[in-house]
Amino acid sequence: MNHNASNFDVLDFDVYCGMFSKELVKGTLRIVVLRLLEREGRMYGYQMNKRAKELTDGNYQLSEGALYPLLQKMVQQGLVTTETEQANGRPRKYYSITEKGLEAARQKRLEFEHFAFTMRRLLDLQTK
Amino acid sequence: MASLSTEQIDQVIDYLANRNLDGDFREELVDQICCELEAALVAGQAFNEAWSDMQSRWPPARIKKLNNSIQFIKFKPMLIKITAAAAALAGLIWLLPGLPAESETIVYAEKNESTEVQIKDESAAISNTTDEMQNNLRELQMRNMRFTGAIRQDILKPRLSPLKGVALVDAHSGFGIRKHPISGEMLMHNGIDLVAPLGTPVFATADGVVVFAGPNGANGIQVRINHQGGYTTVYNHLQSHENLIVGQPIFEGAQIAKVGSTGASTGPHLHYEVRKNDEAINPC
Repeated sequence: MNHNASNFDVLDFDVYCGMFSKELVKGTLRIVVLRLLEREGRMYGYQMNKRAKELTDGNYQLSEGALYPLLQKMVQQGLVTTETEQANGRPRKYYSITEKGLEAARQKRLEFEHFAFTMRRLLDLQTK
Repeated sequence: MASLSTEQIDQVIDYLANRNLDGDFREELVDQICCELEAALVAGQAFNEAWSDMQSRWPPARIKKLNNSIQFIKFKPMLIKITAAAAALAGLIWLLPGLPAESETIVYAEKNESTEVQIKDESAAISNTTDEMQNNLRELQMRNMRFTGAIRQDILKPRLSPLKGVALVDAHSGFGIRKHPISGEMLMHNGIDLVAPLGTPVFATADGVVVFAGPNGANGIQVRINHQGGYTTVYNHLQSHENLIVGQPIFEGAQIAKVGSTGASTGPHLHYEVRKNDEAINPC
């Protein structure tokens, strides 16, 4: 697959592995991260990627190039908070979801559900 | 669970040192890379091998780019504030020549008291109007949201016919008050009756999830499917259903059952209902 990196978008330069194009992963990364945090309570960056891979048999992979800037943004927006703890002899930064983040997760999931139904209709995928 | 030694962690810290990385992010990246190395060790790789793999996955250019994008996001709000301040300053400077000239100021000073009162009244009136306009705007936005919400819900209403070649409007018995064919009473008819021969395939009218499939008293063999937007479709008096299981997802147009005459029925037909939030509505 040919991934043309654009220099203008800060989140755009990383080439994605996994099954899906980087546009699809990028467009869904926020809701995936929110949902993971909602389910697992508290996670660190590496763990999010690992968990997403496990849940999708490796089909959906978050690249660090998109994940860490997104997490930084979500901290600023008050959707997640961070705390640092020692683990395996080094500091580890954990992320947890806030009330605001939970509300965002709920809304984003509803929106995505509607989007998935709409796309199925639009792309004639409704009958197998 | 493999864990890196202190020396190995130091090696990672050294690798990321002197790269002008954001302190917070450098710590995070150390942990990320250590986790990757540990995963490689668990998978049976030797440390040196894992290390050279890591170096090709994390070349200095990639680390630098990632750091830049984090920095950019971190300092963007500050950048916006500075830009806004600069714009405000520019605006002030631009307005300066427009201030009243000296002679005008003297005139104002003479009428000082009455003008001050007048200005106060006017500013109060203006702020009242602004409040009112904001309230109106909010009300309009709310209405708009309700309106688009209503449209969206309506779009989701299942509109297809469950039988091929039989339109909903061709119903033998329509929606509303009618004389009941068995008891003879005037009763509400919650759905429509579509007449078709025994065994005619019945199709799902929208994407959804099966919530009931099986015998249900006077309804005979019944299938109920939940859809988006609070809609449910109900199919009664079936001969059989296609081994549906509660919770099974169903696509629009999938065959779910066969027309029958089970339950309180006078002949083979399909009683089809559309419910919105559990209340029957006209399917047409």
